[in-house]
Amino acid sequence: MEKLFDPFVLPFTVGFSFLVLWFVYKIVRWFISLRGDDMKLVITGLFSLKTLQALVETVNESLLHRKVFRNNSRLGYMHMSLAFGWFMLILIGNIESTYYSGNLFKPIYVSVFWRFFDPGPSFPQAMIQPGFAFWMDLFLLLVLSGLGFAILKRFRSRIMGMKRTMRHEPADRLALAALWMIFPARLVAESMTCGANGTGSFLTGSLGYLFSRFFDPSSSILPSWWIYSFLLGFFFVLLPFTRYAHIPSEPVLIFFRKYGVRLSPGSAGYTDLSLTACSSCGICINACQLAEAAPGRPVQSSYFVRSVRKNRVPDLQYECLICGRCEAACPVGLELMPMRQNTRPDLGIGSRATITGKLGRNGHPRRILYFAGCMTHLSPGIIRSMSSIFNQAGAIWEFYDADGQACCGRPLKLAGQVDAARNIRGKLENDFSKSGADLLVTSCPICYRIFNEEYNLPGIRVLHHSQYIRDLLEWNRIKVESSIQNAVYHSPCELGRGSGIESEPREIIKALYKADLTPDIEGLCCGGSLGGPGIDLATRRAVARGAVEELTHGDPDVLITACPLCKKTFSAISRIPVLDISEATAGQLIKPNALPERKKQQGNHHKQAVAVG
Amino acid sequence: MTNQPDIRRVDVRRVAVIGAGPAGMAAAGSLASLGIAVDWYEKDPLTGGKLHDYYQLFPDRVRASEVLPELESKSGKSLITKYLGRTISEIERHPGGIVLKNGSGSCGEADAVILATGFDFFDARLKEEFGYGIYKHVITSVDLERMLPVGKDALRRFGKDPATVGFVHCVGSRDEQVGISYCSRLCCITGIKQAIEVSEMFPAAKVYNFYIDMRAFGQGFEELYRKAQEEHGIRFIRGRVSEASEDREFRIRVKAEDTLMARPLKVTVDWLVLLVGMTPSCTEVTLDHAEKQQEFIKPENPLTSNAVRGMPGVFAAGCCTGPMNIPESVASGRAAALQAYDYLTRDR
Amino acid sequence: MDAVKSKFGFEINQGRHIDMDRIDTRLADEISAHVRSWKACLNCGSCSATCPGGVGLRSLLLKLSTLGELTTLDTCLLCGKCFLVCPRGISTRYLIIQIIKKRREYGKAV
Repeated sequence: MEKLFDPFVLPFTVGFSFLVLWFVYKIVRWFISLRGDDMKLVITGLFSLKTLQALVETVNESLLHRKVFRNNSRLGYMHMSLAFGWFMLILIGNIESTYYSGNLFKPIYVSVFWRFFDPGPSFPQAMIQPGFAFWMDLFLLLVLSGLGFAILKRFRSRIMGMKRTMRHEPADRLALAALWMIFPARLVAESMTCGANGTGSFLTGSLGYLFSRFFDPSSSILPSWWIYSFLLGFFFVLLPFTRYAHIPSEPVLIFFRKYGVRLSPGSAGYTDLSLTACSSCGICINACQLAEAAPGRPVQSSYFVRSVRKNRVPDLQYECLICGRCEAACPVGLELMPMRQNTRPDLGIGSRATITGKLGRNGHPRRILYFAGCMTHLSPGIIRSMSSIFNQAGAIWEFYDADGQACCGRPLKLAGQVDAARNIRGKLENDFSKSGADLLVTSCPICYRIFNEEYNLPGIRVLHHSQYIRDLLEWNRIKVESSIQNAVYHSPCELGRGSGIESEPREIIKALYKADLTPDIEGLCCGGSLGGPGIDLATRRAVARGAVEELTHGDPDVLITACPLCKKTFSAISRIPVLDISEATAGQLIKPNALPERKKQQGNHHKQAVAVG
Repeated sequence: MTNQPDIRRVDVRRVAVIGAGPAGMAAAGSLASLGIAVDWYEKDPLTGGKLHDYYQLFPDRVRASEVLPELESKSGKSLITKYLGRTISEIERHPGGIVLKNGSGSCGEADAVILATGFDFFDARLKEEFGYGIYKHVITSVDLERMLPVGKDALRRFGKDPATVGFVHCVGSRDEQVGISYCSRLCCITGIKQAIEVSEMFPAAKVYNFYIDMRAFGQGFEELYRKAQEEHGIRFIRGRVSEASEDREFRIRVKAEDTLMARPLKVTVDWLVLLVGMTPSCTEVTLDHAEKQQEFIKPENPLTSNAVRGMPGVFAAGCCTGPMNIPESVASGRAAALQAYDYLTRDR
Repeated sequence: MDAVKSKFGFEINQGRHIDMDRIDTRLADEISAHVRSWKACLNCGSCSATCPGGVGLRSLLLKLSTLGELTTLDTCLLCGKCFLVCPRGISTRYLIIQIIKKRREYGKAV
């Protein structure tokens, strides 16, 4: 075999070396800027089973993109074919070149450009021989098919199941163009070589043969390999400055995450790694309800990440609902919600906020403490219902924030005011502990989440009222009658996706209504979220309308939710009655005593004039 | 070619008037006076519309029960055929005329139609933070209007006279939270009138009216406002009520800000009266090609015509076009009648 | 002053009146540009009335727009009830955040 070198390999080699140096530098930076505990986690994890698990996840997600497949098979195929196909080309190319050169330690460019150095088996016999050439052609075809889909997606994204794609910036577009040209260039270069030598398998051989019918490919060999090499080198040099930096960093993220590292305000290294691992795939844009409600506003996570990577936190970021749908859809599994919150500056709002609650009745055992939540006071129907339910169940309970002067602190925290939230937490933790209660029931999922995740309440169990009601039903402490109506349940962001409480409300609905018509979709946001102070009323209404439309496809009679904010937001626009789960329960309570209770109204019913025109 | 109307032609034409409230009564009566036959449809079993529910009318506090027969006498002509208890749900224009439909198909025809379908009061349960339907002592102005003729007992609690009564202005009007951005015009004067009525019934009671802007635009309105302040000691507080809650004695605790004093306030009342706004009637008739102005029916040209845009021969009068008081509705009905007459008789 | 009093028989009390010719509204204008709905404020007071944190938001915003004065919001819980009751649908929470951001940029009250 002649010397395995030609000047055309230089662009590739230079680019690749640059990339490798950059990558090593980044890994070292990411590691050393981890927090102390996180570093320990990584080191101990490295030599454990977790490494194997991380390897498996890398194959599943970085190569096969299984999470994307679950969502949308066309998109999944596209990502998988490019990633897995390219990986296999590299792997098999390496094996092929090692096998034929007999040399394991050779310059990196040798396996990449192997077809130039060894044209391969003869055409057309190679077509039916299951050798290296065949597999290389197969995987090249796989990549090219993915490329076809990628081009289609950019111009007709709806065919690929994406309502919108991301608008890229010039650097990303340049890299995209280079990437798209790489594989056709490879195909052409390999085919030229095959055509000139009469070799190649079904793809490269056929194309090469075709070329040879019209001109002499041998003079085109070197130019086409130069182009291929140059494209590769160019792409690698651009990579660290574009979205494709995601390619090497996603596996690193997977490993660190498997070892237990999580995002926190202090971890600059892990944050940088997370930001780099975002591929700007745009799946988050598809999942975001604001893409429809506020089209053209680049509020979605992929835009956010891109801005932060450039050290620019967009003011737009207050227009994010912090609902978590993007996080749920992200194929890389980025912790998008913490990322958003960590970039919201603490402005000192609420630093002197005080709250007051009521803990009266000295000497009276207080088993249950009820915390309605500040928003619930604008929906007194919920408070009235919980009161009925507590009394019906014979519970000994106290209404802590009866005056409506208390707040759990989470709205402050969501807006970035961490210190103020901590002060309020201290006051409430103190009051709750002094109360003698062993159960804290709240009507607001926002309050529930912070009580559950952050508050230190030893000896006190925290429940959202839907969990409490379900328990009451299960233990027969209250009885309800079933209605002939059909209901649909809207899962509040903070309760369902945020706290994992999904089954309890559904069980209650099953007991209360004839049929549960809730669609099997990722939970929607009502639009009322406190997470997005910058979203105006009109946009919120648009989000709410879109959500109600999707929820009511099955034509239910009533819309049930478990959050006062969701209830208020939907009531303003829904044509069917909107009820909180506590109101639905209280309205159908079977009471043994004869006290005449005012018949519960059917809930808020927005009258719309009959459509005209 | 003469300028006189072709009376023979006019005699066989019929106009359908839909709605028998003040506007409908005026329209039917005027048309009959002009010699046109009227088919008069009304969904309730009586004519008179909401006049049956009112007690005293602002600003002079004439009894609605006295005004009603007057209006009815003007519309009791022989050319009018009443169809009471009938609902028209749709109007369709055909080349030969206009077809009226109810839920089960066509039920009438006419050469011109006057819509006088009126309005509904805003459903106060939509402002849940005020507790209507939840707290017993939160009522609307409509409820109060029915309670006032009954006498003091209707408003006594546990046999005792109420000590404090609050009125909340702008419930369901000028409120983006319920999607109604317009002003219903008449609720402020209603609030003033009812505050005076309550104060007359219980002179010792403190009466508070919580308002944002005081819209006392009509003749005699401003004078009534002054009377309320001077003669009855009604306390007008410039500040919108944000929410209400109930205390242990079932009295209502009100939260508002006295914006002129720039301080938040709370007050406990025995009754909280919500002055509800006006919304287009839910028994609204479906029209083809019609437009609505903020959900009310928009006339083709407010300056020159009561015709519904895009539907020649169909006219709209009264509160179905927007909030109006009774004199305005009556005038609107008469104007629509004249235009319908003109439409029927002019050369085409 | 004495010259005025002797000539016209009255004093001009300079303390209380707002000199609209001299008010600097640039701060309020900048913030309005971010939150345009603020201009629709009716001064109805629902926001102040419902606030559990005791913030007099209405008068705070009025002082800012009329006098260009910026006061503190350190008792605000950012709970959002003010936004839920506002009849003009003004994004009050966002307004509060913008005000505090500007306050930090420009230093304390004018």
